[in-house]
Amino acid sequence: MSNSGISRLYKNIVSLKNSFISTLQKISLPPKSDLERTRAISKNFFLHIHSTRIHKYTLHPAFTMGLGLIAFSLFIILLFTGILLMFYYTPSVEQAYFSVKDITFLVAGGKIIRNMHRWAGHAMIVVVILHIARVFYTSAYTRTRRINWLIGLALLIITILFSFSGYLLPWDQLGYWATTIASNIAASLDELTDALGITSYFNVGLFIKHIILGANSVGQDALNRFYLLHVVVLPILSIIFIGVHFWRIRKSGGLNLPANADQLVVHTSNMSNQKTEIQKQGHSRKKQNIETILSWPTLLWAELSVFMICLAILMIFSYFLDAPLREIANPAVAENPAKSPWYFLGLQELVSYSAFSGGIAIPSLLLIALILIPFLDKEEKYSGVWFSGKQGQKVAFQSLIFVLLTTVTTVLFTVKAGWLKNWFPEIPQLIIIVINPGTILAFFYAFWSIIVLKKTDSTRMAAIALFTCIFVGFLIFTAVGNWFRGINWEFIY
Amino acid sequence: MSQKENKSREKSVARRTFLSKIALVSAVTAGIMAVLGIFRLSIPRVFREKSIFKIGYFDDFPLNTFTLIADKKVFIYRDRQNIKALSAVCTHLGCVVTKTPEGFQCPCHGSFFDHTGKVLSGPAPRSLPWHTVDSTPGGLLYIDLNQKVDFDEKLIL
Repeated sequence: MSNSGISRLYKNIVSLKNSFISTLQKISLPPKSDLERTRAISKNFFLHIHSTRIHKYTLHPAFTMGLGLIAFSLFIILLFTGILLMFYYTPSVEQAYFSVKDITFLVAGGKIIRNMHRWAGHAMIVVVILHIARVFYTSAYTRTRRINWLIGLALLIITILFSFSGYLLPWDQLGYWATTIASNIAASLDELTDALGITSYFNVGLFIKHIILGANSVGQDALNRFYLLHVVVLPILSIIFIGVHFWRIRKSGGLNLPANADQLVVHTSNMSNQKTEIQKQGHSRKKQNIETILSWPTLLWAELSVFMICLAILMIFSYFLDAPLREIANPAVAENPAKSPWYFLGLQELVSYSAFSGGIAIPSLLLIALILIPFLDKEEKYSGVWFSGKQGQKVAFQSLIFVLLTTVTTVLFTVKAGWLKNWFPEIPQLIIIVINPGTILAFFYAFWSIIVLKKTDSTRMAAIALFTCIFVGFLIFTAVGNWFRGINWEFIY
Repeated sequence: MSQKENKSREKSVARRTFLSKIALVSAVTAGIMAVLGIFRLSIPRVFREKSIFKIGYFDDFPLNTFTLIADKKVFIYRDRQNIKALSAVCTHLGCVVTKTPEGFQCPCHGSFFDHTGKVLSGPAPRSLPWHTVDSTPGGLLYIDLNQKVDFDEKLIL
């Protein structure tokens, strides 16, 4: 009788309080020993993406600048603020604009949530681009990291699509015309098909435009599609890709450390004790990279700090600076100047020579170049060192000078003297597609990279030269599009 | 192992490889068809927007001027007896052009067009298209934005 089901149930009910407390303690009390700390990481679903021990240099602020972590923090903030915005936002042509107005002016806390969402979205683009630059300049794309470089590029595209699809949702003049321009950039493939004379058989540009907009111009169908993309498709995709991105870092054995990472770590008495402790325990079979510490709690504190700093800066920023909301979208009157989101203005500058060349050909070339980098440069010397050491610093600096000179000269020349169409109005479109300031600069950059390759005899140096050119060139064009283009896209200063 | 058993095992392995190949082929086919289907589904058979619009009567339009019908993005030009319609959508990236004394200008990337819609300068790859203007028996004029015509074609009344 004493061991019957009833009596056991009775005992469990009596000890309910204690069972709860012990379970809660198991998941909430801080671990006391190193073994418990290790377990705390590896046995917890949310934490097991971390390794239980990390190298101390990984936490060095100058090594990664925490850019990947900042991007992830922003993603979390965007997810939360985005869900809150969806409480009130209505994706219809008639109501979208007014629901955004309601969020801004009627909903308690709505304004700051919308501001945070907007600015975090912009910050995300900046941080992701900087993160790519960091990964590149510390050559964290060799060997097993090649796949993660590609996943990172996929995340870049997802980020851009995120930001771009969100741009239309307020249904104001800014978003409406930015989307109109972008969908016509997709349609500008017909510049090429026209030049080749195959448009009447298959108008691929129009086909893509119809898929994006679901109509001939931006309207309710486009709003539906962009909303669906923004709140369902892209979040799912990004969560999957972010998961794989993190997992790949673990599979490659953590961050890409320089060979002399152990010497770079600052020694405090406490930490060197730990080192000897590990050596005593016989964990120092490998000579390199033994300056490890437990992830719990150091890494977790570092992550939380980065997240909180992001949140704090974003909240202060959002308190003082309001997200833009222009007049309601008016299909009859274009903004003057009608500008895309700022990160597209570099492309819009190129688009002002040829829509196909600047909007499709050059971005595709750029993406292909980025995809190919880890396959064309397989040098592992100096991997994990910023600019791969002194020589790379020199190459990067020379490339900076080169790209500044060529790009600024080309932009100023076209501003002053115009381009082929101003000199020969009857010129075939195909020639403009092939020869325009964008393609000429792309040629210059590739040429420079080959010169560097010949001089230094190192694909790594050639890659640094090319990446620096593309990166700085992009910045210059973005700056020109943002600050030096006024009414009717005329040059202002 | 007897000869017979061995044979039947070989047979079952062959059957298994065959079945897994079938599974693979069907998965790939289904994937391709699904992608094609999604593309097809994304483009409606009929668009919501109408392409044929009533624009009013001949006398509604002032003489020898380009009148913009803003919500249809089209200019109507009439002289004594003729009336015709010029698209106001820039062929570069789809902004609405504005009238200037010399012709038309696009605010987005500064393309210029003359009065016939021909590109004078800027990134626009093509001329502004002209559309047909037609009349109902009662004299109500309508345009069809899907019909493109040469600039010297006009409705004579």
